[in-house]
Amino acid sequence: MALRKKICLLFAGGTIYPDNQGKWQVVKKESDINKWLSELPELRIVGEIEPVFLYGEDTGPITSQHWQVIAKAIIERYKHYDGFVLLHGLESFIYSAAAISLAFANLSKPIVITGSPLSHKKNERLADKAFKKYKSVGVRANLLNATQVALADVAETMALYGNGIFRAGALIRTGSEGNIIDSYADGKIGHIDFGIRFSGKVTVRSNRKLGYHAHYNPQVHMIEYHPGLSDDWLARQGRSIKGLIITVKTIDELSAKFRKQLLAVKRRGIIPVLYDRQARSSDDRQFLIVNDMTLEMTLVKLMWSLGQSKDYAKVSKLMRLPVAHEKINLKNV
Amino acid sequence: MKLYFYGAPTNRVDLDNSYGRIKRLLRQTGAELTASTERLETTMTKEELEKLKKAGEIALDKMDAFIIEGSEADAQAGYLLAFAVARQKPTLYLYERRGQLPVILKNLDKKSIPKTLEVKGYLKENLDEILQNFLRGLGSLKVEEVPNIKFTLRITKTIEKYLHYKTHNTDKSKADFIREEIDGKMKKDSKFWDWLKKQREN
Repeated sequence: MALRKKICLLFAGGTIYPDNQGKWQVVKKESDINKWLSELPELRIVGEIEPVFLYGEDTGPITSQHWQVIAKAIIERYKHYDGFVLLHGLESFIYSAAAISLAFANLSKPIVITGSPLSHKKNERLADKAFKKYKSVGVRANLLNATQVALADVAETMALYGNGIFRAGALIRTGSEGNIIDSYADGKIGHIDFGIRFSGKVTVRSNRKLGYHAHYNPQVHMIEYHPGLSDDWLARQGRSIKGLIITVKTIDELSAKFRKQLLAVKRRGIIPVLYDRQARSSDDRQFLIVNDMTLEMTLVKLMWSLGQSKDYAKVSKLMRLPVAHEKINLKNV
Repeated sequence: MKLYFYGAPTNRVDLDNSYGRIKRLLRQTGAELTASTERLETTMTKEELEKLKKAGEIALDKMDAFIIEGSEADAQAGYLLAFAVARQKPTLYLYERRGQLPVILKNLDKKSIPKTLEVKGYLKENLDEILQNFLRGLGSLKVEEVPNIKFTLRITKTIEKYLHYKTHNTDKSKADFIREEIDGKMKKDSKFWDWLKKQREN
């Protein structure tokens, strides 16, 4: 008899669901897992599930240290499982998905990130109403679908929410209650209707040498540039900052004075990144321009790049290098 | 009512024939059928599917009941079974009663099998009957039962005359007349249906 496929289920928030008796189930501590899983017998049909507790639903704001904990948990168990499913809270879902996708290059098996759209802080009555209306996006549905995807012939870091399967590095958060997580066209790699369906452009399982870099430098700031604003604040950026993302409507709007101050910032060892999704080109001799990644990914990738080097040329090279299918077409969206 | 039928793609002609037979019977009930065997056939329109996609919903969620032919169960059969268990939708899991219980079912302990799931081993001879019993339990479907149980009935001369009187010069046989009379009485007997439901649940 063929051995059952093994899935590592990592708990990092995003666990709230109402069981069949209408009682809310949540994993706040490791000892909650058995009860939580016992209400989901369907998972045992799909594969052998082995849970790993990383942190609970009540964990405060997610930081780069949490990303390191997740990545470490995966790399330590990488050889022993057919696929990984990470349960994660919605609030910082996109950032963590970007971080995990960058941590692993040349995957030979899937990592699927999913979770519950219900926050434990929310009023239970409202959560109940939302769950009844959008059963497809509840963690129970998401987890079953994610488990199935984790056994599929795909070798990428993906996010699964509702009926969408996305590249983890190309996510956006929408205002819609149904498709809470979405992505730009390039990032959508599959959907669920009568089953799991992938488009033809996914990377399939094969024996590749895994690349692993899970250090993130959190000393990054992000500011929004608007014409007419005082430029002095740029000069005041603290020395503790190693990277600075400036979002601009269009690069051409940058004043000469602002550019000059930006160069001064660069000389102080801070790496400035100009984020302009409509920029015609990312080639600029003075600055690093990003026009091919989501803003969330740009932030996380700068942290990740600075986790490997503080040298402008090296960071610039890493930022331009496609690592986890994060390079997408943002124009005309 | 929306029904979903799944049978894993197969090279076996006999199994493929069973799939065909199941699909025919399900269509006869007047249900909206989505069937996935060698290819997907659905009565749902492109517009309906697109609307669901945009709303973040899963088309499977719109199905009222599932019929899975799992003799050659694959990953999709497992997924559908898991889906039906999670959603507690009425599900009939069929397998040919000549081998062992499908491995897929061994991963479910008895305690966690919901009442909505029926697992039935079948033979060519009783496939229709098993399906009809399941469909009848769903209600609101037109299920034509095949009268295949032989029954000897002794009647009086007068009853025989009455049967002749009611059926001569019609296209009905005396047996048809008796069956229809009993069927009509049975349909109105709510106590009988409650009793039958309890029997099936047990």
